Amino acid sequence: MNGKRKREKVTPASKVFGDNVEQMNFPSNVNAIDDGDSSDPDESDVEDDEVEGHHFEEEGGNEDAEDEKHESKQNGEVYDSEETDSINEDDIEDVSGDEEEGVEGEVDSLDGDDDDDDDDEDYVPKGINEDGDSDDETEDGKVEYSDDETKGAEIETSEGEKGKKIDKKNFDEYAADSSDEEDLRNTIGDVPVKWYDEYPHMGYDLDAKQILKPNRGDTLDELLNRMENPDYNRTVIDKQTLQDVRLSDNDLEVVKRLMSNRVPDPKYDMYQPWIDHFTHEVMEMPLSGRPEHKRSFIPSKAEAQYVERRAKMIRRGLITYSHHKKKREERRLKHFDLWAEHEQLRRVHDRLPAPKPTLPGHADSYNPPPEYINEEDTRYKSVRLVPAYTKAFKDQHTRCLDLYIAPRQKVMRVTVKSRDLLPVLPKPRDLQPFPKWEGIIFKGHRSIIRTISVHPKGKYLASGSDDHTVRIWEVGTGRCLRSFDVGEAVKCVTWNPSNNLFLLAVVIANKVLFMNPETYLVESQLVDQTNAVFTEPPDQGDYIQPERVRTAVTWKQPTREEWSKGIRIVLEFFRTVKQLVWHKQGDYFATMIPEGDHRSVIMHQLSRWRSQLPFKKLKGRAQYIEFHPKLPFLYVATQQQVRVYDLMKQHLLKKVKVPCKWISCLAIHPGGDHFLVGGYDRKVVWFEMEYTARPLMLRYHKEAVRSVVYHRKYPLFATASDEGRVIVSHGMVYDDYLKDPFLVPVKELRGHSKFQDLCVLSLAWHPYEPFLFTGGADATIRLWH
Amino acid sequence: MVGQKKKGTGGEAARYITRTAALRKLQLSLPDFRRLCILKGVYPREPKNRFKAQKGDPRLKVLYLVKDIQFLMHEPIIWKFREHKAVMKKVKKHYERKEDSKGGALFGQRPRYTLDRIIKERYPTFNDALNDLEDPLTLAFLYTKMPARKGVKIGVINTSIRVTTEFLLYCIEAKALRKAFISIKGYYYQVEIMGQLITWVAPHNFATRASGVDHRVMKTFLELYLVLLSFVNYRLFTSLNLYYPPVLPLSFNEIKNTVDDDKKFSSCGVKEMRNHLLTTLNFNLKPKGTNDDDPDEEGIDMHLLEGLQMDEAKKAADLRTKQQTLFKDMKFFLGRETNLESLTFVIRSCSGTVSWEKMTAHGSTYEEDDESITHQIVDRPGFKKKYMSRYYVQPQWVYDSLNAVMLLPIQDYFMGAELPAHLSPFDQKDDELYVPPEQKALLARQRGEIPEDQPLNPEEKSDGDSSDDDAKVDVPVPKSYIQKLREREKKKKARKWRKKQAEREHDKEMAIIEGRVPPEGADKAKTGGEEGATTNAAAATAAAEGTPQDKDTGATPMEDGDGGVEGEKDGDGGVEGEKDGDGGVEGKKDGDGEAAAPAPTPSKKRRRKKPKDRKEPIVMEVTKGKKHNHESRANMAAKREEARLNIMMLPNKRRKLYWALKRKEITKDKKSQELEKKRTVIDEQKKKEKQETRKKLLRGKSRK
Repeated sequence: MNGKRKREKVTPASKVFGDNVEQMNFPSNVNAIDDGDSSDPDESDVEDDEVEGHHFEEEGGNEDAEDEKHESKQNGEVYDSEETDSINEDDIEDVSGDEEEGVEGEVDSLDGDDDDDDDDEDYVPKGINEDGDSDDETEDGKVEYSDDETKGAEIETSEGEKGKKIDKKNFDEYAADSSDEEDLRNTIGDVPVKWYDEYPHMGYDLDAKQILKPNRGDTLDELLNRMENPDYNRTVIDKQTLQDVRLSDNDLEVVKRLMSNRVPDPKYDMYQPWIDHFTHEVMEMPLSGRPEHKRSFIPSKAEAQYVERRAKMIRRGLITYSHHKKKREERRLKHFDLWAEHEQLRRVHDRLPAPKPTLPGHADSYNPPPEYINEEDTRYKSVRLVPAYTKAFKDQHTRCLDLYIAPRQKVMRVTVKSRDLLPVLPKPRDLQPFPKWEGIIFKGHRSIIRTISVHPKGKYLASGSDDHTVRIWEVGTGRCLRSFDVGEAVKCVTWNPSNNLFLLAVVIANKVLFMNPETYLVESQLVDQTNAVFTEPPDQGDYIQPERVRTAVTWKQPTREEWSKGIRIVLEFFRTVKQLVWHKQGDYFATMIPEGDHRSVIMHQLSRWRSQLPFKKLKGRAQYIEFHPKLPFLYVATQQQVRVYDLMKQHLLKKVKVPCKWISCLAIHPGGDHFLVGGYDRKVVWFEMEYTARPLMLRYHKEAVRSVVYHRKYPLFATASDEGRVIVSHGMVYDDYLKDPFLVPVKELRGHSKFQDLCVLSLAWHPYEPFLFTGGADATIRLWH
Repeated sequence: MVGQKKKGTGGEAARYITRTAALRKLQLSLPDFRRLCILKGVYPREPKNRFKAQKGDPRLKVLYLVKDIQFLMHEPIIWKFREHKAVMKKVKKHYERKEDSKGGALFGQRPRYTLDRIIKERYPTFNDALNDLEDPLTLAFLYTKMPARKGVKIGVINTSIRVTTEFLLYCIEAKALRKAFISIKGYYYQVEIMGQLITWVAPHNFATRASGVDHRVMKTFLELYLVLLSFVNYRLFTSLNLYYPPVLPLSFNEIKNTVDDDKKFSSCGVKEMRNHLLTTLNFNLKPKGTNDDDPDEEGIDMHLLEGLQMDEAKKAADLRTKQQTLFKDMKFFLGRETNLESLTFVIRSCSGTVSWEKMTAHGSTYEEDDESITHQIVDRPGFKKKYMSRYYVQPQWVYDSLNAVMLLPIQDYFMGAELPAHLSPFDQKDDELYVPPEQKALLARQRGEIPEDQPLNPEEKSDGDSSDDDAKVDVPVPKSYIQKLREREKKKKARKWRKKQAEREHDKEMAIIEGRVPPEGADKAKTGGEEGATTNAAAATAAAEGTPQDKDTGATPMEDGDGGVEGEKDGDGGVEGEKDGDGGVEGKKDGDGEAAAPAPTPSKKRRRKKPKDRKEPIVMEVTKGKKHNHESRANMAAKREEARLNIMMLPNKRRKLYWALKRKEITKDKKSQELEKKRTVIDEQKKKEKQETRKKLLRGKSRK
């Protein structure tokens, strides 16, 4: 009876299992059987293998899936709905994973690509979770079937039929029932067995008598049992009866099938032909004439609400599907040739690529040559000993900052060497002759020599100094021929350019003295000729000197004493004179009075002892005057301008603005088309008369330029400045107006020493030799040849 | 006044915009703006006139071009930023309400962006991308050595490991490595890809801590760079007809999966990943199909080039192929203390084969006991078990050989040997004034002036040899007391003799001065003869006074012939002895009365001894004087002056530039001179030390 009842119960249970496979979770239980019951590791391993292998065999072909498909084919639409359901439940991600992600995600803001990986890690199969839940039911280490299962499973007591193989089919249930075996049925009902844990009995029999717990023996018995009993591995304990139950083959079969989520009963045919009791086909004769209910054709409101809810959730991202994720993953790992097609996109305006990091030199080596090692560095004897570079991240960080926040600028990088910048000039020796060496030093003055002048024949040199003397020197020997004390500091001395006169003009304070510094070397005829000019004043006729001139200049004959001193005529001015220049023929000369306002430039005629004022007014303070070497032009340099007057036509010819703050001196090229201006602000400016707009700036000097002079014959000019250098330059001028003059400095002459921040104050070229005379503040005159 | 323009609406002022103004215009927060600037490659500009550009604001400001900001305004990514911001606000709200699940889900759905379009825009051609690969590689390589931590996720690190390894794989496959250099900062590599030279630094094999560094900036850069690198890798792999992602023994995703299961945010996973990647470095990639084109084909039609050009191209190509096959048919085995990654990369790029101990890392292909191994790279002072069939070399040899494009003599790099200096291959500019002697030697070797297999300091070796010889010569000859006495006597005699000689000379001179003896003519021969005699005598005395080994050999100088004496005195080795034997013969001639002449090949040692002799009368000698400067001072001065005048000719601006350059050159010159000086001092010190040690050695030997 018992058996029959059991037998009867099996089928419905298996049916239940078959219908609702998902809820069954056997694998863990089976494992538990092995772990708990079998303490013999070898055997249990084998068993495990068997079970798993079997399991694998059945799952290997993915039978389930195939079955499902098969079923879906058969059942058509009906199964489809099931499938979608399963997708809903299986594929929907558990939100918990995302939550975790969210928590982490707060730390960094956007780069979530890597988070996907984390999702994978978080993912725990749902089944396992449920396993955990079901595990709660099991207690101790031993296997306990829940009551249903025990009932469902076919249990045979081990005591009676140990070792016997019982054929299920031939099994006579009544026969079994009729055995005189004590019925150990427990009547506690559906109550947890653990309630009886503390009692000696385990329940009550049909007569309401306590059933005492059988003696299960100690662990030693257990061990022995395990060693001896071949069926040990297939015996389980019935919790209600606390009897050993040996599982039959059929039972095992059922267990295995359950484990693989199949219908426990192998005979149950899942794919029976479907009998369509309520066919969709419209019958010719309806069973009832009742009109269909409205409900049947109006869509369900609840469903609509459900769908809406789901859609909303999907939209809000509360539901994600794994296939979405897969897509994302694919997109992330998708590789393609980005540069396959040429497409010009808009780029950053006026791109300036970042400079590349500098490459390491020998000094950066881990084992550099010894000379590159500083005291603080260490040389590592082998690669193994090189430590980590602690500043690696910092360096890279600064590089990153440089890349995105450092302002960029286009800078022309010069890759040339300094010598490549120098112009290719002809060798100075190709531009000879020019003075190179110091020749003669004329010593004798006792103070600063302000002015020197070379006699037009080149034999004599006159010099005027602050020691109140004018000295005449012989050029060839350097001897001082004569010395005149004039009683005042000499501002300017100039020889008369005429060949018929031996006359020297000396400017002191507000006087100009004309002297005949005759020496024993001068031809007496020349001396006499000169003296003859000044013996008597010329006949003035009916000439009346204008008032303006008379107040400015007076011509005086010298006294006898003065005559004997060599003075032939004296001009007295209303203010101190600074400069006197001769016209080329030697009859006319001009004087310059810096503080003379409109009368600062006065023209004089020597032969007639007459003076005249060429300008009604003069703008600015006169600095320097000069005659044009060929034409009747007068150049007047004021502080920042050079004015060129045509004396014949009596008008201003040209006004040249000099890019120089204070003009100090002026020289006109013997050709007459160019002139040179020196300034106190260190500049020397070369002008071309025809094209004064863009002069050539010569920045040769570091301090104020004191004097500039052209050589009369050679293409040379010299400039002197306070820094103690005299620079001789080659200045070639071409007839072709389009061709710029060719200017090359060829020599710098040093020799004079400084005195009161002054050095060379005056320059003079020899009239026909390439010799240069320099008069310096150190009271010497030097000849350079 | 109608036409007048308002101030600050044109020119410099309108061209630039400050950062705050830009932020306002773009309606972005500063971090978003920074991210945008980094991604789009927009940077501040230095205006020509800052005062005008800042509209008179005296503070220093970050100025961007207005055009750049307008360019940014059209960037679609900005919208993603804004959406992201909105979503994050909601997420935050959810979390504050403890609705974690909702917040998390929303966070998962936050907007994401792709960077391919931006990369395309920044690098319109592939060459542009290659040209700008230095920083990406350096940064990615740096992050491979980074331990994962709070701000930096393992995903980023893993990706950078993947990307860099792929790049290395390509370089190995293409044999693109040209230079490698171990510096303090890390390993510098230079590869040549499609004609472009790319240099990057890979840090040393340590996990580097990043302290005091703002990771936000670097991470944004890295984000961009990793995408760029993967695109570049794809292109490179396909250009070589290889699969991308590369087909490896273990794919990157698999590695990741195996790692990620149990160890989530720990650097352990990274370590394993690195380990696996090492395996991949030692793995030959499979091509997609058969390669149709010849690998040897250079792609240049050589015949189109002319003369020198062709020669140069050919030379360069030869050199390249030589470098690519430098370690061909060589089998390396790496010790576990070496940097496996780096060495594998370098050796495999030069067609060598590599393996290491199985225990050290995955990917080893053969074991240490493989007899066909030719080189074992070892970085430790000694080794117990040695195989005779292979060289034990230090790792520097590999790098130096690669840079020199030739197999350097292995003796210098033997295990435990003191390594020669590791020179930077990047420091070989032509304008470098100071070239260290090692470099000179290397260049000479490359030119073929030094034979390839001659070690770097042959002098040392030869010195060593000679010292050995010396040792053989002076092998302990115990001197008896009598011998010592004899020597002493000899010395005494020699001294006496020398005195006598000097007196005689003095007398003679006096006689000449006093006019007793006619000094010229016939007498000359006599004096000549005497001179000869004196030289011989001097030689004899010198021999007597010489170093111990000389004493032994020339124990009886007076009995031997003159030449013999000299020969023995001079001869250190056999050959020299012979030569000086000739000298000795000439010495005889001197004695016969010819005008005194110096020995034809005076060896150095002899000259060293001479000064003692020089005290003695009139032995004519030619000494090597200083090389005279034939240019007169005046000439030099003239030259200097010319230079000065030349400079004077320069216009102002140029002159300033000239002086700036000149100053630079001068400092450079000084530096090089300093280096040279330092080197000479060091060399001398070394020499001295060596001599001392040798002396010590000798002394020790003689004692024995």
